[in-house]
Amino acid sequence: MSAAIEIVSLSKHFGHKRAVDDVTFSVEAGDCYGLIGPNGAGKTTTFSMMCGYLYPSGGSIKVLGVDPTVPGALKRQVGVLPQDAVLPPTWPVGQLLTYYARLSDLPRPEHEAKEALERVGLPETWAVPAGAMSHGMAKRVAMAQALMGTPPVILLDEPTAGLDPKIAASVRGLIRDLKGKSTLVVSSHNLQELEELCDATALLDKGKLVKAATMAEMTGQAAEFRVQVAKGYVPLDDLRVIHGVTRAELEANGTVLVVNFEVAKTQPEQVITATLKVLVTRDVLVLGVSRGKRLEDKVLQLT
Amino acid sequence: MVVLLVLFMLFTGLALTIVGWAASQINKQGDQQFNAQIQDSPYKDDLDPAKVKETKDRIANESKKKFVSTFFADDDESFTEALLSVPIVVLIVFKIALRFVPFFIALMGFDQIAAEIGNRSIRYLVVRSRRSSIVLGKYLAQTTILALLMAVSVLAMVIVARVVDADLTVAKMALTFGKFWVAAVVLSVAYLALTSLCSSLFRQAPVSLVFNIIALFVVWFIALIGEAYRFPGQEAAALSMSSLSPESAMAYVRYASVWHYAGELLHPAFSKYGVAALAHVGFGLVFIALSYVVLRARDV
Repeated sequence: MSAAIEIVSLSKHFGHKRAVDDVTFSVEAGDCYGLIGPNGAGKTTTFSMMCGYLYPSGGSIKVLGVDPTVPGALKRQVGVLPQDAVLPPTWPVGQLLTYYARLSDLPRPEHEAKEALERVGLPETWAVPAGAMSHGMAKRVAMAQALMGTPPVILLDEPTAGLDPKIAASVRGLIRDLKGKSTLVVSSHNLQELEELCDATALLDKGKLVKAATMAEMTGQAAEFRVQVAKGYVPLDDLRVIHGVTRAELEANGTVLVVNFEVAKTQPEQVITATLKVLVTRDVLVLGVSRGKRLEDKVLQLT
Repeated sequence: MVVLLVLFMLFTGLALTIVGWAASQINKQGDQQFNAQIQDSPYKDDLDPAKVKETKDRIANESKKKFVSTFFADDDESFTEALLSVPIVVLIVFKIALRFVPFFIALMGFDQIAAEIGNRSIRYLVVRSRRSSIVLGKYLAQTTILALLMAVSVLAMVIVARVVDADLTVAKMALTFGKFWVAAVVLSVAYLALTSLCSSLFRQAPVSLVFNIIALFVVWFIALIGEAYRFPGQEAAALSMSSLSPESAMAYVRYASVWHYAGELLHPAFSKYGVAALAHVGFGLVFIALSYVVLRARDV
């Protein structure tokens, strides 16, 4: 796969403040990529440079092989859901989306606008002025304008922030549907959401890149699993001799068994099955098995 | 647009009322003075009423001509004649309105780019359009709106002119409308671009408005300083400005202000009108190019 977005030694300074400092990572074409990090990590600044809103102070950025700050470079190539950008309040939604579709030179602007509104579940807002909508509705309309024409790259900044759980779930469903059709970059604080949606992620903290990796690597899915133990004696020594296992320990007062293994030597399903066999043989009662360390734990560990 | 039209019409109407009232008072006073002179004349019984009326009209025309020549035509004979073809009240109101158009434009367009940057709605545009298209699109939209507003305002002034002067023919009305409207639109070209430039400089629309007004005063002061240094030595001495040298290079700064060229936008000589129009278009191009450069270079 080739890279849809390439970021090399990217920096952005606001006066003396370094909002983004020497960040390098790339987003493979077709991937859903997460930008994560605490407040002030530089996610939105990095995101804004990808969209051509902000000029980098140093380094380079290429979206589909072009510099996003070149005039007209992103037209029909990139759909963007910007954070906190206000929709012109007096425009009726349908008219506004049709106007945006025209600016993007989409062949059937009104049809695109209607289709996009249906995708976000708001076809009834066609004639409603953008300023009269609730935060959640405005967010979905903003999402609709990003999806019009299904551009090859879609950049979404905090797509579910401030939405109620039901709407947030529908937006996640929308993002899931786009996977494989477009390259997606999602910036979010919601780590559970990113873990569920993304193939790879970049973790930023205080403007610097802490780690850029696939989600499997980030969460240790390939090399770790956890068994929730309800009752019984866990024979750690027996588990440590299973082929490929490098570590077996009990955590959380003996209720969680954490097993690490070498991916190069064995398949995850083989190690998990072998471990469960040992536990069942020793009459250990098991409540559940989960693969990998959760993204949230990893982020907390790294930042 | 309707609000803007109402605002401008109110302003024009107010100016028309004040100037009309002042003009009628001056005329009344002139009439009284003239009648008093006739009454005091030892030959009053021998005077021919037709000749008296003729003299009265001639005196009125001469004072009108002197006024127009001094204040609006820079002592230019052909220019004065051209301006005298419309009622003086309407001419004064139009001139006042024209001088206030830059401020009206500032009020109309100060937020065209600044507000879009401030609330970030420009972000929906910049991924779809070139920044040059955004600047030009907004500029052309503002120009179109202003041209329409000016058409309505000038039409109203010409209608008032017809009411004031019954001798104003339809052809003359059409010509006056055309001349006034073109002058107003050409003048606006430069100031609309200046407003666009000021709006692209700031993120907060109110700051851009304040800066725009300051810029207008700077433009005005540059022209004023140039004019002050332009006086020939004798005139300057008469006006207690003898310290100002007639050859001073400072006099040339007036050419750096678009305000300087506005006076000749109604000039009948094409060469004079052409220079004034070209100057406005030239300043407009410079301001709009700068507006693009600023928006192109800035983070949004």
